[in-house]
Amino acid sequence: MPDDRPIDTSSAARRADHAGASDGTPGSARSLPEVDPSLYLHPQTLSRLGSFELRAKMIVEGISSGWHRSPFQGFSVEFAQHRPYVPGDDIRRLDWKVFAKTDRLQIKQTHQETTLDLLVMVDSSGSMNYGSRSFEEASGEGRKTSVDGRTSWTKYDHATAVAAALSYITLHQGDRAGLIVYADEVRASVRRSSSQGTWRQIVGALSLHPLAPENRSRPTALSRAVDQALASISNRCLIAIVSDFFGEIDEIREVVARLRHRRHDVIAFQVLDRAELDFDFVEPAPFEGLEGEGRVRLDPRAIRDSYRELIGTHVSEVERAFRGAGYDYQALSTHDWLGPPMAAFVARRNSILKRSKYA
Amino acid sequence: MTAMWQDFTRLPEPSSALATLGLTFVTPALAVAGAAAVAIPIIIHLLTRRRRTPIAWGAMRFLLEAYRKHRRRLTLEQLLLLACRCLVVMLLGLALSRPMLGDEADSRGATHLILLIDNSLTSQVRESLDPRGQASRIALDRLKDEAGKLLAELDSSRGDRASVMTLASPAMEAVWPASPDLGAVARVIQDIRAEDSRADVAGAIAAVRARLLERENESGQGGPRPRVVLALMSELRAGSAELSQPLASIGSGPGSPILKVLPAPFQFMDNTAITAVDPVRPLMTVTDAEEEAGGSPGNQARVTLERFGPWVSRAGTTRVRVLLTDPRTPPIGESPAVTVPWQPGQRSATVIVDVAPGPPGAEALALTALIDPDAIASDNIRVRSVEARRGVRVAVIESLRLVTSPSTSIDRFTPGDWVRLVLRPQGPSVGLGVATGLTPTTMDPASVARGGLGGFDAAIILAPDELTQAGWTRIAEFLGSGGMVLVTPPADASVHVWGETMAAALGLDWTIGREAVTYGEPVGVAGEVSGGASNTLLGMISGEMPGLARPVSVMRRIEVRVGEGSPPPVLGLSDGAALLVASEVGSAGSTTESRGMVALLTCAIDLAWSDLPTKPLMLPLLHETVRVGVGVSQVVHDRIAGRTGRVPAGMTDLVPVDSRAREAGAWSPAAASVSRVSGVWRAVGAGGSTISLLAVNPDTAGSDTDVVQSEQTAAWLGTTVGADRVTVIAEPADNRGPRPVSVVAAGGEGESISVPLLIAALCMALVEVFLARRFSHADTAVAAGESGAGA
Repeated sequence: MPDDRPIDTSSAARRADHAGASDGTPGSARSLPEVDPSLYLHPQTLSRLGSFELRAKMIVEGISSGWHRSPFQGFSVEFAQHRPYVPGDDIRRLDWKVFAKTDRLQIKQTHQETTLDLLVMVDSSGSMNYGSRSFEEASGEGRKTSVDGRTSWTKYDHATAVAAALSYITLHQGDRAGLIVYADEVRASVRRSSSQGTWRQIVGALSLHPLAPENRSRPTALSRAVDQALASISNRCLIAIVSDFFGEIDEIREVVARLRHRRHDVIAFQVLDRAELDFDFVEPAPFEGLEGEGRVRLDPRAIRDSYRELIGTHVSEVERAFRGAGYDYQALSTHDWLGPPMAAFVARRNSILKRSKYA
Repeated sequence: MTAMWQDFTRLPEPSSALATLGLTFVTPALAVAGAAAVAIPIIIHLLTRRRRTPIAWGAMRFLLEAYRKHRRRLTLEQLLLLACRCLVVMLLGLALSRPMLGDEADSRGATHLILLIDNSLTSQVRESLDPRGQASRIALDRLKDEAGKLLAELDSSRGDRASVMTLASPAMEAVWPASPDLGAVARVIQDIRAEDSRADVAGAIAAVRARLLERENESGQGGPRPRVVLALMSELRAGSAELSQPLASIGSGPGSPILKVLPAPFQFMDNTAITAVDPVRPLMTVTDAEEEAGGSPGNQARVTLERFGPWVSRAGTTRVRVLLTDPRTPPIGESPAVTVPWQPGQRSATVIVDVAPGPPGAEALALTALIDPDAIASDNIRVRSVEARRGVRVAVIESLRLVTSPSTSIDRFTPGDWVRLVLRPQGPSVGLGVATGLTPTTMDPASVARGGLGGFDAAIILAPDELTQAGWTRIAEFLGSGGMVLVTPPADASVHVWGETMAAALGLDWTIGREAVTYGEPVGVAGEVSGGASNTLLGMISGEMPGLARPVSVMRRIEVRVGEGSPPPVLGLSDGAALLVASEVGSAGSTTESRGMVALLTCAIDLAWSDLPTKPLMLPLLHETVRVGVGVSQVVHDRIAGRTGRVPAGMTDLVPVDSRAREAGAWSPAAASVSRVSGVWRAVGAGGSTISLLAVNPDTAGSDTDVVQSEQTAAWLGTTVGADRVTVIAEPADNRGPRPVSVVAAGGEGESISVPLLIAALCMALVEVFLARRFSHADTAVAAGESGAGA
C-alpha cells in the first residue's frame, strides 16, 4: 500500500544515518530509510513480471544450487555428456564404468545447477537528474514530490526502479543480487547476497544516494566505475548497467570490451527521457548542463534537427556497441512503465536461453 | 504646445549631423526619437532574456555540439534580424521626421521670412456675416494672425529676421530691410489696415526680387546666405490672384527662396460690387426753385453692378440707391431704392436710377451709389464727383438788333428768339412744368472779341459770320477751359466764309461749304442717332428720336464734311447729309487739361431753313446738346484706389472730405502718388477755393470673391520660385491650435524623402517578417525524432 504520509527528506536522511551502511563503501548509506518497495516496484510492474521467471543469459557459476545451469561441468547430479580424457583432466571425473565396459577413458560431464549473481550498476551522474515527466504521474501512487522534493520523474528515478525490480525478482528466486551506484566513481554499493536483508539494503542505497546535494551534479566516469566494480568481484556475474550512456562512445566501447574480456554477461538499459529525444522546446531559453557544462542560450528550433541527429546517432552507437559484443541492450523511456520493456526483455532472454542450452 | 514645437525646431544637433549629407529634417525631434527607437528591439530582447528561467538539461553534450555546429549561422541570423528590426524602427522614425534633401546652407543659416500680407479689397471678405450686417472679423484679421504664427516660429537669437510687404496695389514695404526685432514686426503687422485697391502680387514679387538682388550684390559671394522664406498671406481669391499677370522669377533650385501659401479658402462668399456710377447727363443741375421745393431736378444715374461668388448661378435681387450728396454732410432722408433682379448666370447689370436730391447750398456734390451689405463692405458704395451747378449760363451770340424785345409772332422770330424761348420756356402757354436750369444771355459778337465768355458755361453762336479772328480766338480759349459751343449758320447770309475761319481757329477737321444747299423738296431728318464719341449728346433722347424727327423738314443747309479723324455726324438728314456734327476740342494732344465741345447745326434756326424751331425736336435737341455738351466738357478727376490719375489743374492741396478719406490721412497731391483707400477729397486751389471733388473708389477687380483652385494658384506662383518650392501651409485638423509641424522650417527647399523612407520601412518590415519566419525554424517538426527510445 502506498504510504500516504508526507515524506520528510530530512527525517528520511536522519533515519538513514541510524540504520548504517551495508558494506561500508565510501558514499554508501549507513542506514536504510523506511521506504516502501512499491515506490520502485509499482504493483503493475510486479504483476506483469510475476508470470515470468528470470532467466540469465549465461549460466553463472554459483555456490548454491538454483534454477540456473552452470557452464562448469563438475560435481552434479544431472549427467551432461562424456568426452575423451586428455592429459591434465582430473582423474576423479573419469567414468570408471565406461572404462570397464569399453576400455576407454572417458570424462563424465554433468550439469551443475548454480545460482545467478546479479550486479546492478546504476548511473547516478548529474545527467540522470533530468526528467520532463511529473513525479505524480510516473510514480502512480499519488505522490506529488519525491523524497527530496523533486516534482519531476527523473531518469535516475526510472533507473532505480529498474534496478529494484531486477534485484527483487533475482532475490525472490533465491539468487544473489548486488548493487553499485556510480557517477564519476562508485558512490555506493551493496554486496551480492541472497539474504533477506539485501533487498532493503539495495533499496536504501538507491533512495539515499540523491539526497546528498553534492551527488547531484557529478560527471559520468563509466570506465572508472566498472574498473572499481570488477575489482570487487571474482566470479562471473550478470551485470545490468542502467544508465543514459551519455559518455563518450569510445569509452563505452572500451568498457564493453573489458567486460567481455572478463567474460561477464551484460544487460544494458539505456534510460532516456522523451524530451531528450524529441527536443520539442519552442521558445528560446537558456539551457544549463546538469554536469557543470555551463549555460547556453539558444533557440531550440534552430538546432533541433542537428541535435536529434546527434543524439540519435549516439543511441544507435551505444546499442551497436553492446549488441556487437553479444550483449543485450534495452532502451527505456521515462515516460513508459517499467513493465512492458522489462517483460519484453525477459521474454526475449528466455527464448534465447532455450535455443542455446550452453554458451 | 506651440512652445514645444518651437523648441524642437531649434534643436540643431540631429539635422546638423546629417546636413553634411544634404539631409535636413522638418521635425528634428522626431528624427531624434527615431534614432533612439533603434534601441527598442534591443531593449525588448534584453528584457525577454532576463525573464527566462534556465532549463536544466541532461544531454548537454549533444546540445552544445549541435549549438557549436550552427553557432555562426545562428549568430548571423540573429544579427540580421536585429538589424532588420532596428532598421524598420529607424526608417519609420526618419520618415515621420520628414527629412528633406536640400542645400546644406539652407538648413544651417538663419531664416529671412518675408511676409507678403494681402490687405487688398479682397482681404476685406468677412469671415462671417452677422445678422445685422455689421462689420465682423474680416479675412485680413485671420491673415494677420497667420502671419503672427509664422513670426512666432522665428528666433532672433539664431539670426532670424522678418520683413513685411503689403499687397494692396501698389505693393508697399511695411518693414524693410528685414528686422531682427520680431516683436516690433508683429506690432507692424497688427497695425496693417485693409485697403481698397487690388492685390499687387506681381509688384510685390518684383520688389522682393529687386531687394534680394540688391542684398546679394551688397553682400557679395562671401558669408552665409540666410534662408529666404516668402510667405504669401493671402486667400488668393480671384480678386487677389491675377493669374494672367506674369510673375518675376526670383530663382529656383536649392538655395533659392521658397514660397509658402495658405490653403485655398473653404468659404464661398457672395459679393456684389458697384463697378460704376455715372450721371446720365454729366451735368447735374440744381436750380434755385428746386432747392426751395426740395424736388428732383430729374437727374438720373447709370449704375453698373457686378456680382461674384456662388450666387451668380442663382436668381436674386439687389437694392440700389443713388444719392446726390455733399460728402461733408450726411445725406438727407431716405432715397428710393431700385431693386435689380438677377437672372441665374447673370454677372453684371446696369440700371438707371433716379437720383435723390442733394442738400441745398452745396458747392460740390458727389453722386453716391449704395447697395445692401454683403461680403465686402467697401465695394458696396461708389462715389462719383459731379459738377453741380445751380444753372447753366448760356451766351446766345447774335447780332444786336435795334428792337430788343422779343417778337410775339413766330413769323418774326429771330434765331435768338427761338433759342431763348427754347432754353427758358416762359409763359403759361409753353410751361413745361419742370425747370430747365438754363439761363440764356444775349451777347454781341463784338463783345465776345473784347471780353471773352468768362462766366458762361455754354455759348450758342447764331452769327458766326460776325465774329472776328479775335472773337474766334476767344471762343477757342473758352473751349479750352471746358466750355461748350453750338454754332448755327446765319440765316440771312448768302456766303458762309466763316466756316473756314472757325475750323482753322478751333482746330477742327471739318470742311464747311461756303454756299448753302437749298432743297427743292424739303428733306426729313434721319431718326437715328449716329455713333461715335459724341453720341452721348443725344443719348438720352435717342429712343424717342424717330418720333421726334419725323415731322421735321429741312429746306436749306450748309455743307459740312467731317474729316476721317473726327467723329461722324451726330444727326443726319434723310439724304445722308449732316444735320448736327460735334467734336471735342483739346481732347487729343492738348496740353491743357480741360476740354470743350463744339457742335455745328447745319441749318439755321430759322423757318426759312427748316421748320425745326416749331417742332418738338427743337427743345430736347437744344437742351441735350447744351447740357450734355457742358457736362462732357467737365474733367472728372475721380480715381480707382491704387491707380494714378490726373490732378486738377491749379490744385495746391487735397483736403479729405469724408470720414474714410480722413482716416486715410495725408495724401500727397503729386500726380504720381496714389491712394489705396477710397474716399472723397477736395482739390483746393491757390486761394483756398475748391476746384473740384476727387473721389477714390475701390478697385472692383478685387471684389471677385470666387475661390481659385489651389492647382491654378500653385502653377501661377510656381513661375516665380519653381513649382516644387511652393508649399501650402498645412492647417491643423480642427483648424485651431498649433500646427503639427513648423511651417517656416518646413520643406520646399529640398525634396521630401518621407514617402521613399516609408516604403523602405515597409519593405524592411516585410523582409523582417520573412527572415523572422525563416530563422525561427517554426517549420521544424516537433514530433519525436528517429531515436529508438521507448521502443
